[in-house]
Amino acid sequence: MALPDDLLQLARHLANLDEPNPRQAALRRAVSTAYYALFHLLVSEATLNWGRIELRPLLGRVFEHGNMKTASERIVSVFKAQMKKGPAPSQELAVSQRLHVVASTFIQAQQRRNEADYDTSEDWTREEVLEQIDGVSAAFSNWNAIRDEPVAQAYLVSLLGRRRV
Amino acid sequence: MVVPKAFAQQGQFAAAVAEVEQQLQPRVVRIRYTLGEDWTGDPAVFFRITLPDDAPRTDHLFGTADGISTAIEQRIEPLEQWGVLPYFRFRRQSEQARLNEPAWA
Repeated sequence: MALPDDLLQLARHLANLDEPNPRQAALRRAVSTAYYALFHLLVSEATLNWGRIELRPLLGRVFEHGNMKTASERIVSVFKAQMKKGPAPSQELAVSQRLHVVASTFIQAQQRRNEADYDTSEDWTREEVLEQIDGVSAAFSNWNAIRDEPVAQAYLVSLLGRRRV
Repeated sequence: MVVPKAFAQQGQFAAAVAEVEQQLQPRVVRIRYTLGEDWTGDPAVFFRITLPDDAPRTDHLFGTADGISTAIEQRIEPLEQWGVLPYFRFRRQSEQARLNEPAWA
């Protein structure tokens, strides 16, 4: 199984440890691991486009969390603007909707990962963590449905960083 | 630096959230929030949404046509109208009753 799928499976395993009284450490690691599952899914999909296989891991190290958030925000903004126009159902709209799910989930998961790793002011509950993992799992499914679409491939490129005019 | 409208007009923002909270009942029990910055320093609103125990498990997920997050985003437009990026956390009523965290009450 590939790393992103392994991480997602590990996140669920961590969330289900110590029933019925989960430890905060396990729940927090589950939240963090779920984010990294999505992070590595997107990075691995992007680097797949690089012809030299041996250099893909090195290219993967170029991706930065902040740039990926900014790129995801752009997708969300474009989708919202599109929806405001009340578009008729179409294949293009369906693809945009799926991409919006991926980008939105990425933004939310990234912030939660930060809170899970650094903010100890609030506890996490198992149910909340499992729902978070369900969300990332749904993002995986949506991504797999659109991964070859031009707009999805353009998103992968945009994750690398700021676009210059 | 421009102060986001949500910070400058906190009363109006609170009223907008309260209105949505009312509109979304009984699908939500309550909506609480904090204004602040996310991990990158961008202005943000952190929603803490308490759901009834019998709420569908996927009700909050992005992509759910009438999901709670989507409904809040569409009705308040936190980023477009108020200048803050929205973040969402969800908890069931019984979980909150057990944890009794003031920030969610």
